[in-house]
Amino acid sequence: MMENKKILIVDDESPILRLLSQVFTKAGYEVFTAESGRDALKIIEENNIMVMFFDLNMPVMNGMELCKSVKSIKPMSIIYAITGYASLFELSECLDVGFEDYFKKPVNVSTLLKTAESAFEKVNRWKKM
Amino acid sequence: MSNEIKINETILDFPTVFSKDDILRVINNLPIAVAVIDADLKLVLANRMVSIFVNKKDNQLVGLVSGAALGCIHHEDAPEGCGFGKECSKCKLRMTVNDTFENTKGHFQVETAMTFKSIGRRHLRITTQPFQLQKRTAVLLSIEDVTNAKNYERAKIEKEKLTAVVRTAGAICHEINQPLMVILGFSELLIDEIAHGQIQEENVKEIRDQAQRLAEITNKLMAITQYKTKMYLSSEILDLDAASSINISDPNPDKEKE
Repeated sequence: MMENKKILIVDDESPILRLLSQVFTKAGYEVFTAESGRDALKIIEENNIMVMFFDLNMPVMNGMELCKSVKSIKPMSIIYAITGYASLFELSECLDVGFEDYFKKPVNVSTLLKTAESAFEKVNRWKKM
Repeated sequence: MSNEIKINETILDFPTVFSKDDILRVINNLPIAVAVIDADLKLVLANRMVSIFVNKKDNQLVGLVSGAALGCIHHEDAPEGCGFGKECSKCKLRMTVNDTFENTKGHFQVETAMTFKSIGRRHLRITTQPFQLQKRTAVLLSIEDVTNAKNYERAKIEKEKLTAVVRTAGAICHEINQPLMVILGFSELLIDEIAHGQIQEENVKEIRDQAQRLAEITNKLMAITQYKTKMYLSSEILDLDAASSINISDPNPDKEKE
């Protein structure tokens, strides 16, 4: 059961990682965190993670580029964008690169928990097919 | 006396008398509005572009005082006509032409705005030049309508201002929404921890640190001295660290001491 409940959070802001890590851990998820796209790809390679939350503005590899890379190796993964600021153009671009949805910071933690819950329901539905 | 032209002389170095038709022929093909004004400020001649500019026929222009001829909305403000109304004392066209007569010295590209009955408010560039006509001083007046250029310039400035505002707003959102999310998130966790009687000191400290970070951001915003931007995804936002005279390298200087 735990195998299905792995979540990856990628953000270059360590307090955000610490916050979301506590929130999702308390809710029973196994949480992986990464401060960069490169670290995230390494974690994805080693673990079967289907639900992920990416910050958009990160140095070296931004959230959009990371999402594209992850979708090319794990097309069925469900990835959400969380951003401090983005124009409407960029938000529409989010959907183009494969993000399931996006959230603007500050986002309520209960919203993220509901999102994760429905994402795992979707993953489980696909598994049954 | 010989009419032979010497070196460095042209035909214009000989005494010349221009007829009305000669002058009209010269000014008619100019691409800007040109008129000749006499000492009573009446239009003596007006080229084709004046007619096109104010949408009037040639015979509706000549013989009238300039404001009446051009259709200035103020030319009937006073019963005496153009030049006597309350607004006439501020009329730059009138002032420029009068000064040209008084000092027999021309003016180059004087900018002013006028409102005309036929074409509304226009931004103009006026150039004047005194000259002798039938042994009397007259003024050659040219009027350049730069309304479109001014509107484009104004729109460009507005666009630049809007771009700067959007980039500043972007930086504020980016800088403030990070600590705000941490504060709100840990506050929610704290409420839950209080209910269970298990408060994590680290989480409370994080709320304080992030509130401190917010205060530093507003301090930086108040100390902006230059306009510097940085890339944010595919757009640009204000680079708050580079733009502000306050540069705090360690956002939480007290954290290590605890």
